Amino acid sequence: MVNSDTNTSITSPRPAADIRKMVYASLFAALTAIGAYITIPLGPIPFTLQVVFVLLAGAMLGSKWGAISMIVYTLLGIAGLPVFSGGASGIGVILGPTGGYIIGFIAAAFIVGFLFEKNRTEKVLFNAIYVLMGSVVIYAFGLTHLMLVADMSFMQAITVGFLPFIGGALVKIAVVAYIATSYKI
Amino acid sequence: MAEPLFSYVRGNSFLHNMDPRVKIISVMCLSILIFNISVLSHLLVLAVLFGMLTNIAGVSISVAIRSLRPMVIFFCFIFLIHLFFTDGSPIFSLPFSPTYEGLEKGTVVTGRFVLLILFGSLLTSTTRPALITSGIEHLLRPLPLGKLGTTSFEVATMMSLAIHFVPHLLWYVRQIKDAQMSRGLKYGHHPISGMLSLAIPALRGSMRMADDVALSMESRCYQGNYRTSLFEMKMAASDRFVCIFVVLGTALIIYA
Repeated sequence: MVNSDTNTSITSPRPAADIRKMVYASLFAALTAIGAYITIPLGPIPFTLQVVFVLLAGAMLGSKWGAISMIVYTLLGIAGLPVFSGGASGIGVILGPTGGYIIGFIAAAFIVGFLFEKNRTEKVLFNAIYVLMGSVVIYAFGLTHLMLVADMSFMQAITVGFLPFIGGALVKIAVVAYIATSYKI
Repeated sequence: MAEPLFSYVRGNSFLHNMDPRVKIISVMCLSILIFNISVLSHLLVLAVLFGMLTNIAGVSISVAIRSLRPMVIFFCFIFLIHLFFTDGSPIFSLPFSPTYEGLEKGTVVTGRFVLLILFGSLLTSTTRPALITSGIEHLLRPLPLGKLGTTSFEVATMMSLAIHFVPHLLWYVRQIKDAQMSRGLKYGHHPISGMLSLAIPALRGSMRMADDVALSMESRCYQGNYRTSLFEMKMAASDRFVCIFVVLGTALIIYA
């Protein structure tokens, strides 16, 4: 840098590791987007890989980049790409009934990332508990939002927004805990 | 596996030529308005407004309807729950009957969501994704993203990168799925192993791809600063007028 003292405020050179994290964050945003299109038939409700990639983003990228990656995913949806579950898009979806889950993705990626950073272990069981907490966060946001915007009682929201997905959620937690324990970036 | 559809419809109307920032702000204001509605007739007023705007934009109504399709099942659920579980005078004299109050509440709540999505689809069908991205980037600039350790320019770059990754990854995952199926994998029977056999190769392969992209960005000295873009936005006088009109209008309706 020639004039390092004059333009440090504009150009702070990024270390290579940051660029890599940045690309990985966009990768996980893209994976979360296509996760909505990969359905695995199990019982009456086919479940998607979307939440798997949300939780993995937190576990593998850490709190900061995991959250940023989910923010990018949300912005992609707002920009009109059909990235939300079922191929939906637009600002309307965020404010709509399922919008809470999308906001929950950001919080969940942050919290899972935080837990993994603080207490890194090789034990699948501990990792499963961290991932479980992430899923709880997603559903907490999703159900609260559903209750608020759709004028529902707690039990009504649970019936529509939680009970049908329990089985799938447990399978996803197991999968994410396994992958996060065996693979690292 | 359905192909993701881009909802942009080419055109040269007033709405198409409006500044994307103004359009994003207007949709946000309209969404706030829609959420404050509790009377059916107000919903109808906004529905008429939507009809007029689609007419101006020259976008066929089927494009807007298509954007509703993913949410239809959820809307039906919400409508039915309100229809049956709201207290009031029953429509039929059965022990478990829908009520008139439920019918009204269900219609208002579902109608709100339908309008939200319709107005959102109006934004995306009249604006190129690249322009919305740069519009979002401009609107993010005043936010304190620095505290998060990133900048609006980086967020915009990440959005473009993710847009670039999506079709590639879809193709890649389909290849993996076919490869695993041809090796005798049955998804429905073993959900955990089925998911692992899809997710792990997809992750490994896409990470290899991401590493390549990171390396090439690094070797081209990517810094994450302001860069000029292919689509430069201009705020015309009419854009300013629309923006002020919408923001003031929303504020007046809510606080008056």
